[in-house]
Amino acid sequence: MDCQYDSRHEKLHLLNRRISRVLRWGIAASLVLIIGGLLLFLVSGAPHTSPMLPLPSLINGFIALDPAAFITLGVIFILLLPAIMLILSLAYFAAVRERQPAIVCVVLLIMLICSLILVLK
Amino acid sequence: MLSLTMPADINIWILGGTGFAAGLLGSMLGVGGGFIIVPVLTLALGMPIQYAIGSSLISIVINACTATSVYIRCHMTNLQLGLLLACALVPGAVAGAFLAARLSSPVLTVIFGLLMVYVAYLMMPKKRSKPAPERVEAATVHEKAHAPHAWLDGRYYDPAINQEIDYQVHRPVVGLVTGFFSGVISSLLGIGGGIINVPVMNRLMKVPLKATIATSALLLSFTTMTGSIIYIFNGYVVPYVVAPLIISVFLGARLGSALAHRWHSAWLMWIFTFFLAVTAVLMMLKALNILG
Repeated sequence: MDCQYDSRHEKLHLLNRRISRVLRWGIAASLVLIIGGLLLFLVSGAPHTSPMLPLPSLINGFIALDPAAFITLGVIFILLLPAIMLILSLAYFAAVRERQPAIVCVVLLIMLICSLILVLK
Repeated sequence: MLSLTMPADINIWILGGTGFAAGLLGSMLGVGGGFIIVPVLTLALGMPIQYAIGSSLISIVINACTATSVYIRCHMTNLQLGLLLACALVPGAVAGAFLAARLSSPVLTVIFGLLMVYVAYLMMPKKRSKPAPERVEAATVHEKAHAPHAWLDGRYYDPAINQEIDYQVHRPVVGLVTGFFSGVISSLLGIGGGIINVPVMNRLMKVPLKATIATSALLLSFTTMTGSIIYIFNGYVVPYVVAPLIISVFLGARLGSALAHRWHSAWLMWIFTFFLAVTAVLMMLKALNILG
């Protein structure tokens, strides 16, 4: 029983490290974009009140070196991180056949999607 | 009625300093840091409240993700518990957002402020013969494995006391019910959920303070993600404002989470109690229109 308890924690530590790595890379990528956008703002003298770009205009904005496009993309990266963390956890718990946490992940994923649909309506 | 016009000139250094303070305190205490960002953006920079809240929410997501990346690497975050409580907090936050549109709540704010003063009193570290917060009563491994919610139990190493901490999570159902109301109240009153989650997890669910703070950071990332998206879609997020905030919140959160990992739980508890009491008083003054 002791061994089971320890091996469960060892496996969880593996997931923890994986999530930490994904978060760090995700944050680094978004920071690069955001710092780039901020520098472009300072260099180009674009109006400080320009809004976030809608998704379809992002690529064009990116090509045109629009600072708002860089920052919007960086913010999208950040907002995706909790969802990626959840999907990683779900994949892990399903793979090691830990039923309760896997069910919790599925429920949370459904709730996030439903609340997003609800609030955007 | 507030004007929704952004000021043309925005001081990037004030934004940077605000973000750093919010990231530092937020990550150390497992709260968002919106209590610093929103007042500074509205009062010092003259931004409309909607823009301030939108920027604050995105800053909380980066704060929570940065703190989680540090805490989870040290295994302080209880992932299963965080995911379970998020299942109650997320619908609670949505329900609160809908209620907020229908209720004006100065009385509720005063009641909540009084409740926070009481929670601050409960959180105050007291001199007693009981073991320190980290030294949760020792249950044998055999007992843990047979506990009905053994899958929620956690373990981490605390460098401040050079000890491996093993703990059981108590009353998960109470945590879920309280979590739902915490989601409702945080949306309703526009405060971060951490201020409620930390006392609930630490006092009611008997999770050690450091694991509580780490798990609260994880919870914040889920609850503020949805809110951030709403504000972006409504056009209340300005890239030039969020960029310096995000960068400085990240730096503050890195430092804060590294400090919290090494500091003694009693110090963190004192800081949290102080912060809770100040927020409670500010909320009540605001509800009574004394702060304007």
